[in-house]
Amino acid sequence: MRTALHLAILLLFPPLLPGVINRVKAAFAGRRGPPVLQLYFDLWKLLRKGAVYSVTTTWIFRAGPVVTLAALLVAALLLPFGGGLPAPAAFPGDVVLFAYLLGAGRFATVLAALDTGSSFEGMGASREVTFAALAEPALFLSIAGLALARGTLSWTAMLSGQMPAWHLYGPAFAMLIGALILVALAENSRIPFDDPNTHLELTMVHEVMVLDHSGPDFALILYGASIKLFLLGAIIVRLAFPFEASIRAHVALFLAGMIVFAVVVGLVESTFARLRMNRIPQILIAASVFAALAMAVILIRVNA
Amino acid sequence: MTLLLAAMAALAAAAVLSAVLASRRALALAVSAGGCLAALALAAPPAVQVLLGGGTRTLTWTNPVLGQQALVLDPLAAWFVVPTLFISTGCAVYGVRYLLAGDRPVGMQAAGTNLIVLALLTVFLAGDAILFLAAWELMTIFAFLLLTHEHDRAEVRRAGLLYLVLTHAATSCLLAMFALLSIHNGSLRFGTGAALSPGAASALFTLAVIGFGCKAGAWPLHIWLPAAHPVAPSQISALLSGLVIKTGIYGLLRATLLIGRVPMTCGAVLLGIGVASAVLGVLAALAQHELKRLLAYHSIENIGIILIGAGLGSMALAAGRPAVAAIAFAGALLHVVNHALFKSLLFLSAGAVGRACRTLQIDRLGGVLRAMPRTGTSFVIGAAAICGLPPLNGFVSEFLVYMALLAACAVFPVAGQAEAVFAFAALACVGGLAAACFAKASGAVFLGAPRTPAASDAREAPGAMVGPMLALAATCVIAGLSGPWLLRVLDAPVQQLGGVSLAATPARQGLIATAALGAALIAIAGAIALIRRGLLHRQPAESSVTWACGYAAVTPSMQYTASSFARPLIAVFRGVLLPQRRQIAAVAPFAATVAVEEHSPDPVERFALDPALRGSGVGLALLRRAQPTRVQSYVLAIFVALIALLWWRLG
Amino acid sequence: MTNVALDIALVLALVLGVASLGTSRLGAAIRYFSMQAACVAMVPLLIETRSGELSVHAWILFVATMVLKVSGVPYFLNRSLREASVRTEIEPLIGFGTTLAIGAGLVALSFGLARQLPLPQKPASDLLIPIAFSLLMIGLLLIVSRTKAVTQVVGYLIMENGIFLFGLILIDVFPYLIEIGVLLDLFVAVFVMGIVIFHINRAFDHIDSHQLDSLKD
Repeated sequence: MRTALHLAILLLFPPLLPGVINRVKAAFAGRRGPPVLQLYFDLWKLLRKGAVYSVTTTWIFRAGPVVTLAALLVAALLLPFGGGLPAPAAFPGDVVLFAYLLGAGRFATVLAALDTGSSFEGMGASREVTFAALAEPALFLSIAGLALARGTLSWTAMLSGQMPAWHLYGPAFAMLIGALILVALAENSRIPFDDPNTHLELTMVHEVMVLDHSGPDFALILYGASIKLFLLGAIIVRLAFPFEASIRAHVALFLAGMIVFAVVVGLVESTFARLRMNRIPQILIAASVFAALAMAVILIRVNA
Repeated sequence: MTLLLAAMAALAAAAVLSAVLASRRALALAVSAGGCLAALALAAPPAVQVLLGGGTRTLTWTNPVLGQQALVLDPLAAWFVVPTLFISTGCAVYGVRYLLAGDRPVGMQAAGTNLIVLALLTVFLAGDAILFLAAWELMTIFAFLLLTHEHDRAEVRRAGLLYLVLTHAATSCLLAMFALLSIHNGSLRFGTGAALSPGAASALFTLAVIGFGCKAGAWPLHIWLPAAHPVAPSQISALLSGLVIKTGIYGLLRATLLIGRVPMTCGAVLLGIGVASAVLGVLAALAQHELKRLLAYHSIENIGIILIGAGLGSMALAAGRPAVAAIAFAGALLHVVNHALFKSLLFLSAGAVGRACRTLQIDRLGGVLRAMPRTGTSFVIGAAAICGLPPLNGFVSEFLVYMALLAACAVFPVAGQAEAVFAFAALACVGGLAAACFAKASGAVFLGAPRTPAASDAREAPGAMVGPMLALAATCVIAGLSGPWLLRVLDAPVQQLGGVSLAATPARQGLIATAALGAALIAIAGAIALIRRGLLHRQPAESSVTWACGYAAVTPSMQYTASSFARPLIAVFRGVLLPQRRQIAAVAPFAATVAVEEHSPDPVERFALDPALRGSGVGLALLRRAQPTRVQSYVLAIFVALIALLWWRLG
Repeated sequence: MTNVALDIALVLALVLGVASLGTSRLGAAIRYFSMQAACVAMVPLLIETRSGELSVHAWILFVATMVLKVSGVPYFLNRSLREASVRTEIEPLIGFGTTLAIGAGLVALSFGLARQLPLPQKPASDLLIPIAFSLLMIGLLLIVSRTKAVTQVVGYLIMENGIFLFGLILIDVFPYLIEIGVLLDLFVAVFVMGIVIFHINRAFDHIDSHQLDSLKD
């Protein structure tokens, strides 16, 4: 039952997040903005369309969106949604599999982009792998910090019943949340790392990689992107709301938390400027440094 | 044991026969491949039995001069023997068509391949120091002969010489180590767990790390590797990178068994060397412009990952944490085999591309996947595997190493904890960089449009070359999904090294679950692909040119090059890579020549090897001037030495 | 609860120190320092709250720090920035990303060193010594890696914050008078540095401390 609810939330909820973000941004800019459910409409429309393929492409290009989405869906099976819905698959070390599934999805997207032979898509792919390689230590250090503080190697155990841990490791967890938010923004190509609404190919990162995809392929990509945002958000939300409650309250709390997460991302996008490309590595290194500081604090406490 | 001896005899016979038949090129190569195949058929069953059932098979004899000698097939040896047989067969089969396409004599290659496999088997099975060192030296020499196939090229000779000199120098450390060990044990036979003082154990371990680390290509003794691998014929590169450098790992693990209690600091140093090799290896790979050189640097990276596992295992044993040690050693051992599989796969497919396009300069290739679909697909699978992406085999072993590091964070003493955390973060960065590097390599070589006529004229390699690649690629996929089975075969060697069964650690659930989820990943991808096909079924897919943001006159040379692709990361890590840039900038509109070139020569070569060679050249010149010219003075020197010796012993 | 507050104050001080390593804007560096000084000023109060009574000394020290370090020093530094009309550190000797990475290494080193240190008594928090060490190191790193005199002054001030924390180990025996004396010294020092920076700028038209090299001998 809980697994069914987990899957239902996973499959149906994520496209709501970009809608919320866009609404927040629109409100800040004094516009009305597109409907909150816009992405659902877009997906429905794209799924019924045909596709156009470039003559330079091979099976890699067609496999890219499929593999990316599959990897993200499997990664989602490893993550608990709030305190009420444990992950359908939990085992020691699933944190590592989770991170590598994100990596597998990225690899497929990047190869698909390079398959078009377009210089723009090559540029986007290059930026994507650069930022991902630099975000990786921050993500893994955060994982290691949580694993050490909670004495477990599994997401479900790591993110459940963490109230007592907050008393001991509060500042460290706060830094970890900071690092994870930076990772989430970078991984999902959001401001200040990338502007999802930019209209100039030269300044794009993620958007330019998927320029050539159309129809159902593009639908898979958009859907996958919303799931990725949802997954990283789910970790942050559970970490930031460590409270215990009944299952029903948990699910409600989690969904509300995800909306709050989307609103926060929208606020960040409305108030921050996009970084210069050569400043981005520095911010990602800073995220790693913060995760490392958190790790140092946790190590001191664990050994005490 | 009889079967093993029969396999070795088959290899020797095939070597002799192919040397005799050297003038009939095809036949000689076929005999050589047949010898490897026979060895695989004969020796694999007993080795697998030892892995599954544990236990040891021994064959001893008494040598009138050297005393008791032995061939021992224990689980650790068996773990290395099986991939050796499998991969060498693949390489030999591939080599038949690969070498026939060239016009050089092939007798040496044919016989040498058999002999190096024979030497490799003897290294793994040797039960005493003399046999081990003899086989070790033979392996080095055969490797030298095989890799200098194109010895009329100066760079090939230079690379071969560098390899020979460095590994020989390192072997002297091994001689010293085995001599000291036999003095302590009173015998040259390999035993287990000599009760050494920590100081002696550290000294022996240091010698082993230098001697075996050089063969393995661990930083900073790796410089022979990126020179040697690109110039060898591709199946020899595969053999070198897949198997020969692994003997260094085997030697290190064997040495830890022989030394017994390795102090914590030694393990920590090994872990540090592993981290340095992994990070610096992958960074250097990122900056390469030649495909096989890039792959060679990735060998250093992967040796680093293996050393992280091995070093962590030693540390855990010293800290009294056998469960962590078991996971760490399991990761190291599994990565040995996995790297052997995907790296030989990558070298073989790179060789096929090199044959078809006559160049391996990454920026001159492109779009090769359309012309060579099977080679290209093999390469992409190998690339995904070496990046450790699930559901392929590379992920499983890296997963075990990560898990051991995380477990170590929780239970080690403080300094070890800090190092484990650091290694964990570094390994994560290595994973990201490796993905970047292989996105660059497979993207620029196989995807997009051909950048030069050479790339557009490529034809698919013949079946005898494609067959081994596809077999290796399939093995990479299968090995990634066979976690529960790996648990069984890994158990005996892991117990031998760590003392605890892998099944008693959390790695058990991890291995089973990753295999299941890997299968789930494939199933879900298949389902999505079916849905996608169903959706596209209604509307026929259209074909068009790539969208170039409205620009119509796009040419393949406008594609993003591999160099530009790697450029942002090289800029971030310029403090480590020290790239050298030459640029002819445009001074006016319509400038005739605009060029930019960037190379990142190996810092070890630039700042350590080259100055050292120059320095030793000066020193030797001085020595030559001091050389006496008369015969009498030589005799005088001998005389003085004799007196001194007598004085020392008798006085 | 005070334990958590103490943790937050200490960790925030560390985070602000690291942040000052990563920023290129001089104004931000000064702001970070001022916030860090506020965090550090809270620490003795929080320590005393745990043991019960808040002494008058502690309050005096707190107020003095707030007045001098949190508002006075930044005011003078900002003024000299305005006078010299520089806003950013353009060419640091070591790049910002690298400085951050080195800083992380130094923090790790400090955490390791702090464990080895024999102490007369158990410090009020297990984070106190490591973070004091870290601030010392971060300050030194800032001085070493930057060229603008203002950043170097900030580095010096961050070091002083570390020393202040270090002194808190001996909070029972440490006469506050000395700490207040140090504070005043510091203030005068910054005052003088502000004047010097202003004059360097007048004389050379920039505040690169590089140019002082030519004054040697």
